[in-house]
Order: sequence, then C-alpha cells, then structure tokens
Amino acid sequence: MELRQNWHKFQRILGPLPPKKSGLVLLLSHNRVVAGAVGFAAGALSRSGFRDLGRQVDDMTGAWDDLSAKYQCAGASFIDQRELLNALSQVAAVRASAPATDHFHAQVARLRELLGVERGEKSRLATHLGERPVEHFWPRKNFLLGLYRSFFGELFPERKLLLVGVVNSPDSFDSLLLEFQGAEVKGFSEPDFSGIDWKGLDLFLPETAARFVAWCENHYVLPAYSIFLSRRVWDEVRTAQMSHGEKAAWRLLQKIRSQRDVEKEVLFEPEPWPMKALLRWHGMRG
Amino acid sequence: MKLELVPVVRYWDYNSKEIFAVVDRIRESGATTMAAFVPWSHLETDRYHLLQKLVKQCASSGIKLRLGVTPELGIGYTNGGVPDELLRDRQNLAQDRLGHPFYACVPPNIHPLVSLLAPSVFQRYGHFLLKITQELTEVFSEGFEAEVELVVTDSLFKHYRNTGLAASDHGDFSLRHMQFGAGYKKEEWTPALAERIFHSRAFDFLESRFARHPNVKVTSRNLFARESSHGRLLEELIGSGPSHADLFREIVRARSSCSVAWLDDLFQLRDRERNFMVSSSLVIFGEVWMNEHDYFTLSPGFRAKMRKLINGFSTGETELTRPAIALSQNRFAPAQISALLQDKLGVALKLKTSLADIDAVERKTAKLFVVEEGYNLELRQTMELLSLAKERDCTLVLFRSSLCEAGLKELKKLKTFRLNHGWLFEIGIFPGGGHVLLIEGQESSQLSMNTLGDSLVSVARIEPFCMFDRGESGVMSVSVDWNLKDETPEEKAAGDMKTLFLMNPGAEARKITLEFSRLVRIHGMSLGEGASTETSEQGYGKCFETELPPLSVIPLSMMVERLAVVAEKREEDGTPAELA
Repeated sequence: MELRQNWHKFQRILGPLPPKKSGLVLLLSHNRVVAGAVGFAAGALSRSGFRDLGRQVDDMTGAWDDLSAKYQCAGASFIDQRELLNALSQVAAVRASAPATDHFHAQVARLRELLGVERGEKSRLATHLGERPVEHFWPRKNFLLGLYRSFFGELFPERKLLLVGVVNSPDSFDSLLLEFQGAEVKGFSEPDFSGIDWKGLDLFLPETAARFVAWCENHYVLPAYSIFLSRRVWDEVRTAQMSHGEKAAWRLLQKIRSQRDVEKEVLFEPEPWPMKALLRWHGMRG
Repeated sequence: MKLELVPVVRYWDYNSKEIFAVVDRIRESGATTMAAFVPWSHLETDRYHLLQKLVKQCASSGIKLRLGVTPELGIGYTNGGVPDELLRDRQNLAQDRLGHPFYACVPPNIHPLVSLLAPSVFQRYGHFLLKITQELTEVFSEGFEAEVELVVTDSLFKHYRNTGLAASDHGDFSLRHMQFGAGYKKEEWTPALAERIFHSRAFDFLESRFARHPNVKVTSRNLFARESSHGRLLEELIGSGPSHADLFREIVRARSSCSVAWLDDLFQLRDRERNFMVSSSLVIFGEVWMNEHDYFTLSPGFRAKMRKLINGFSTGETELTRPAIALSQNRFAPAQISALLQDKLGVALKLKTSLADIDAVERKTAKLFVVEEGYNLELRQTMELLSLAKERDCTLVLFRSSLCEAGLKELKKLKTFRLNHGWLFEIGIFPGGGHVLLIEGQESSQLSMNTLGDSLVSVARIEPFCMFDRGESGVMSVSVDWNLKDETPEEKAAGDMKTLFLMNPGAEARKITLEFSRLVRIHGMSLGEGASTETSEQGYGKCFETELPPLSVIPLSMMVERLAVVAEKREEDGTPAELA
C-alpha cells in the first residue's frame, strides 16, 4: 500500500463504534496504576478523564468495586505492564523486509486480540472484570471490516483490495482502499483518483465503479472489489450497528441493496457469485 | 508577542496539483504562515521533489513556511519519518534505564524509537540535512524567494520516556548512546547533554549552510507534543481519544519548557472542546501548530474569532508575563522547588536546562532566577548569575549545595544576613536592588520540602499578579503586559495596562473571586469582598467576582495602578523586615 494514509479519515469512516456501555482500561505496574483511560458509551453524559494514576491495586476486585461506582463503568480491563511490553515487542516487531512494521490498525487489532477482547477469551495480558462479554465495554469494530470473515471469504484470493466509497454528492465522495490478507485488514490508503474524470457521473452505475476498480487493480496489481454507498445509507447502517449490532447492520444493508424501483444507493462492483453468497450469508446469519 | 495559528501540511500525501490547491486553501483561510514536517525517509526518496514544489508554491502565494527538520511523532508518516533500515538494527534503538525500548504508540504505526545519537543514526541524519540543504538551495537558485524557517526541535528526546518509570529515569540510556558520550569527560553524560549535542550540531550545520540566504532562518524550538507512550496506547485501544481537561493540564505544564504547541490529534474532541484547546493554547503558547485536517474542521466563525485575537495581540506592544526562570537538571523531572514554583506561578515560569539557554532579553527582564538543588554551578556560572542581581532589581535563588568552593567565597564577599523562615536563608542585597537568596538545604530545616515553596514565595516576595481559589476546577490565568508606545507620561504614571486571560476547562460554569496584588480598574466586573466602595461602571479595587462559562477563554483588560515609589533609601545590607 502506498503511504497516503490518513488515519483520521479511516477512523471517521471505518473507525470503531463506541461501546454499548462505558468501560475502563488500566495499566498496572507492581500493583500500581501507571496509566488508564475511560471508554465512553455513545450516550455517556460525563466525559471526564481518568483520575486515579498512582493508585495502589492490591486486590483487583476491591479496586473494581470502587472504580465502577466512580466512573460509572460496566467493566474494566487490568493490563500488566510487563506483559504489555512483551506484547508490544511482538506487535511492533521490526521485520527485515519492508515495511518494517505493520500498520496501526493491524497492530491495534492484534493487541485487542491478545487482550482477549474480540471473543472474550482468557488472556495472559489482561484481567477483565465486570459485565460479560467484554465486548460490552470495548469499542466495536465496524461491520464492513469483517466482510471476508466467513466460509465464503475463503473463496476469494488471499490478498485483495476493497474500495469503500461513501458518496456525499455527485461531486464528492470519501474513498478508502483497504488491503485484506485473508479476512484481516493489513493496510489502507487514500487512492489518488485525480486521473479519473468522474465528477458528475453516477457513481452507482456499475460501469463508473468499474473504472475505479480497474484503476486500483492496475495500480496495486491485486484483485479489487468495491462498495459504493450514499452517505445516508452509510449513516443508517452505522446507526443500526450501534443500536442493534453487526447483524442488524448487514441485514439493513442487504435490505437496501435488494430494494427495487428506487434510486440506487448501494453498489458492489464486481459482484461475482462468491460476493453475492458472502453478502447473503452476512444478511442471514443469526 | 506574536500569536500564530499555523496549519501543518502533509505535503507528501499530495501531488503537485493538490499542493497548489492546499496552499491556496490555506491562504484563503486567512493564514499567513504554514508549517510542514519533513519526514526523513520521504526526503531521501522524494522522486517528485514534492518539498521543492511546496516551497515554490508558498513563495508564489506569499506564505511563510516553517519546516520541522527533526524527526517528530504524530506527523502522519510511518516511523515518524525515521528510515526503516535504522529500526532494523537493534543497536540503533533507544532504551530506558531498565533496558526496555521506547515504543511510539501513535498512528500510523507502533514502532520502537531510534536513539538519535547512535552513530549510524546520527551519521544518516547528517545526510538528511545535506539533502534538505541541497533541495532548498535548488529552489532558491531558481529565483524563488520563499520565506523559510527551518525549525530544529527537541525531536524524539521528549519521547524517551516509558510510563511507570520515575521521571528522573526518563531519557535514552542505550549502550551505543552512552558510548558516544564516553568522549565527553568534561561534563557528566546525561540525557540532557545528549539532547544538547544533537540539537546544537543540527542547528550549527543548518545555520552555516544558510548563512548567505537572507530568506532562510534557522530556529530552535521545543515542541509540546502529546505523550506517545503506553497512556496513549490505552486511549487508542479503548477508542476514547484525549480528554481535553487532561490535555489542557499537560499543555499548561509544558509551557515552562516548550515554545510551540503541536496539536496533532484533536479530531476525537467535541467542537467546543477543540475550540477551547485551540484558543487556550494560542494564548498560553502564542504559537500553535495543528494538522491541516483539524485546522479545516474549525468553523469559519471560530477561525474569524481567532484571527481577531491574533490581530489584536500580535504587536510589539504586548508581552506574555513570564518573569521567573528556573535552571533545571532534567527536563522530565524538575526538582521539587521548580515544581512548587510551577504550581504557584503557572506559565509564568520558564524551565531551562542550561545557563546558555537564557537569552539577552530574559537576562534583562526576568525578575526571578532559581537554580535547583543539585544543579552544580561552576565559578564562571555563579559569577554570571550574580552579575544579573548586581546589575538590576531581580532575585537570585541558589542552594548552598550548588555552589563550588570558589563560588561560596565570592558570596562571602557580599554583605549578607540570615533569616529563619522555617527554612534557613542567607540573604544578600546589592546596591542596585537585586537580591541573592542562599538556601541552606533540607538538612538545615525541620520542615518538609513541600513548605519550601511557600517559604521562598514569602521571602522573595513572589506574588502572582492575580490569585483565585483554583480548587480542583483547573481554571488557569495568564496575563499579558501592554507597553503602549504612544502613551503620554501622564498616562504612564496612571498605571500599567494588562490583559488577564481566564481559562475554564470545565464543563460547568465557575464562579471565582479574583484577588489582585495591586489596585486595578476593570470594565464590567462585579466587586467582591474587600473591593473599593466606589461605585461606577468600571470596577475598581483588588477583589472581584466573576463567573466563567464552561470551556471558555475570557480576556479581561485592566489598568493596574502603579505602586507608590518608596522615597527613603534602603540600607545597603537591608533588614529582615524589609524582605520578609
């Protein structure tokens, strides 16, 4: 992936959604809190920062009782600093080949995995107290990043690109190009479409989308797929994920996609049968 | 005083056409200066000469350009711009006292920090400086007259700290780094010395290369940057972003040793929080660098407000009041005396790590010079400091343990008297009005170190211009002096003009009572207890009540009455009563 990586844009479009409930994450060194952060739920009124640096934590359960009331949190994750340093040495390991380290998104995802946040597994790195599953008080991954996470995902090439275009108006759209390795996002970039004269064209026409896909394939020499959504639809599906979870977001996307006799606001291009099957599977599961 | 809100451009993200559009957009927004960090590894492979294009575009648009030429974190470039190859050799990595590497946990990637003084890193950085010189010289030889400021910053040195370690243990202690310093017998090898070596070499090199270019200025600035260690990682993991109140506290603390606020990541703050951070940092630092994306998310209305503020205060007639200087050994861990003064005086205190850092203006204007306990002064340095107090009315505070034998002998030549104020002080007064306070040290006092700050404040008569009960509200004040050039002698005699900025980082409105050290006249303020009974539209007195809206920066302009001049001549050696 090229170097044009706007992390803020990535966060704005595909960044994690706030957790269902507020949560705490604390870093402990020799039973003392050396760093901490509060993750706020979407509707949290108070947004005061962490105030207990230096606190002695001999008994995690006791400390948790106290902190949960103080910060009105549903759960807390206690991370051991020595273990974190070990984890960091894996995650930020410098490779002999370029690029020397992974991209931030992949690194954070790996750390979350090591923390046992994604599937609520046990972890050496962290102790989770409070509500279960842990996902309740940790931010939720954007549903679109899990597109290839299914049996059908294996029918796609191992390395592929996904162009996400959120169309604000016929003259403006936010685009992000994701590079997937298997089901995981390995990198992203903001493609430079200045060479394509697209302004004023209908971006929901397959032939228009195909021009962007062709550009990506030629530029990165990897198979590319694309999804174009209108800003309204994108906001709606994100809201659906926020309030009812990932499945609801996929269902809504599938529903809007299958609507007929209305102006098209969602387009997948190309849409080979494994992609159709993949989308159907996401819409139906559960 | 000069206020500047400077957008920072990631020029490497753009093609030539886009660079043109971005510079134009910045010009249209009303900014006259922009900045860019030059990522080291990008410049080495800048096939399209994007840096040159940026400089040329700025020259054509009449925009001044500041280029950060030392590696910085949070600039949006992989590894903070440090070439990959350098990271691959473990010997190049910086380490804390326990041998752990430092990790920069900021987007776009988590990576270990290199030791800037590791031989191969230092050597390659030299090549980078050569390359940047070459690139810029090419632009100037084509006839472009861009005003360029090359900013040598405190770079990665401020990031050599791991969460959980004592502040005094911060700094790079890698083996190669120590070896590099092995040749330095004269001074003890410390992280601060390492920073000075790196900094002065980069600075001197650039200055020598651009001495003949009148449009190029090489400056040295310490940048405030957010912590990038494990605390930041936790924020990123849980997706909370920075807490504006914590960030504000950090900014206030950092002012004593930094001169530019680099706000790299405000996008997760709410609009009002972001506006508060920008306006308060602008008042506190005078110069704020923020990335172009955050800059353009500021509403046009807010930008217009900031422009007004900038235009109103960016004159030669204003100056941020910063009368106190503390000489500190370690930038990460100022000794308790500096910390106590920092609490008491806020941004009025400047921390310096070397006597050479005190510039000519500061030598002429500062009212208080404090040398931390344990900061060893050579005779030359002692004499230099004593000469400050000898020449004019200012206070010099020293610990006996800081002085060498010859220095102590010099002090003995001065007529002094002793004062026991819980702490034992030896006080010397020069005929010019300057004082020297020699503190005996902890061993001579029964009191805890915490009381030294109060004791010193009352003995040296260090009074903040305005006091109020901060409690835990975090409310801060900064005052700006006005020296109007066209003032008549009568107006001058009437008093000094000042603007006091009150900043409330809280989400609730705060009622506070302001107590001034002198009588002041302010427009539209309600009087508090102890104020003058005179009733007029203008408040007049020493004590006022006011309410600060949430997340607000409120300027109060006032006329401060001059103190009546004491006619009687003071005895040369003074008396305790005059000082205490």
